[in-house]
Amino acid sequence: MIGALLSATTLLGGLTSSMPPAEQWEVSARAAAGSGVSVSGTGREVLKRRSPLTLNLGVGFRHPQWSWLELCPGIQLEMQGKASFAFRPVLRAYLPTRRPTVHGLVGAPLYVFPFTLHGVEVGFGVAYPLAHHVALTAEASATAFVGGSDLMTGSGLTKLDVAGGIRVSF
Amino acid sequence: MSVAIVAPFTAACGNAECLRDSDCVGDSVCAGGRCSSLTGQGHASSGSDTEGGGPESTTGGDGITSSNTQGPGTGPQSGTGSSGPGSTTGHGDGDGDGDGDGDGDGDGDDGTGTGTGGSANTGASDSGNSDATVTMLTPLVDAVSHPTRTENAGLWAWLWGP
Repeated sequence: MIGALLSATTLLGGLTSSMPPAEQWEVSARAAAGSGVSVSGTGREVLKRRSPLTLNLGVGFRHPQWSWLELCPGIQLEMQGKASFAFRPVLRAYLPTRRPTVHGLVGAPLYVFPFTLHGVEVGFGVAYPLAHHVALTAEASATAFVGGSDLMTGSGLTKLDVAGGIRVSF
Repeated sequence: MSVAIVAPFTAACGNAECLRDSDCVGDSVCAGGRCSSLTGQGHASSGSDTEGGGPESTTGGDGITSSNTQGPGTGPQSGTGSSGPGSTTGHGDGDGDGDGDGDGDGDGDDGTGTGTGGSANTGASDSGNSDATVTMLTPLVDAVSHPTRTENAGLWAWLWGP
């Protein structure tokens, strides 16, 4: 895990350093683990349980002219229950704060294996810089899954999750 | 409306509570907040019958010379029952009905065959050019996989900065 992160750090650092300065995007890699509460309903009762532990990995891109906005394509892995894989593109909007930085986010998780599940995610987060390139991150999000093969018939699924992790900027 | 707390990540079988299909094991699906089997096979509901036995003769002889021809039981000793139908909303309760079937197991003779060995490779070595990308990345990968003391110090200095 750490080795992969260091590899990505080195590779992406080399790639971005070769870009022209005027068009240099701010690139970061992030990894976080999270869980929370899953809620669903049957019409007669509301069911709750702890959400499976998830691992979120992503790469963020911020254009210098819109540095308050970050596009972060990534993946999400459910590590408990039936292990599953999802694409998770996220758009983050940063507030003009420095330490810690605060942002809101919207995302669209799309589980593709071994079942399908898709929904919309909104939330907010903070990042506390530890050093020149490293920051600790925390995010809270609400995800509404509205379709997919994993849902109960005629029902949806809502997840209220928190995640903590690390971000490395290049 | 009640609120139920579903036990996390247990092997949800039978009529266990669930929120998603992935909360249930096997082919079970989550319907109405309960795991149920589409094929109607609930857990521990596979039926097995031990009934069997041959037919008994009910014809008897008359008088002093009467004799019964009660037949010996030759029925299956154990039947495998197929589980009963279930619904997608309920849990499966299978009732087994035994129907024994005899199966023959035969062993085939080993086949015999002869093969001819392949021809030996001439062992010509590749003379192509090496991939430039691989050539460029190899020192990088080596540096990350097996960093020297200097490279390690450089990486940490870059990460943590002044």
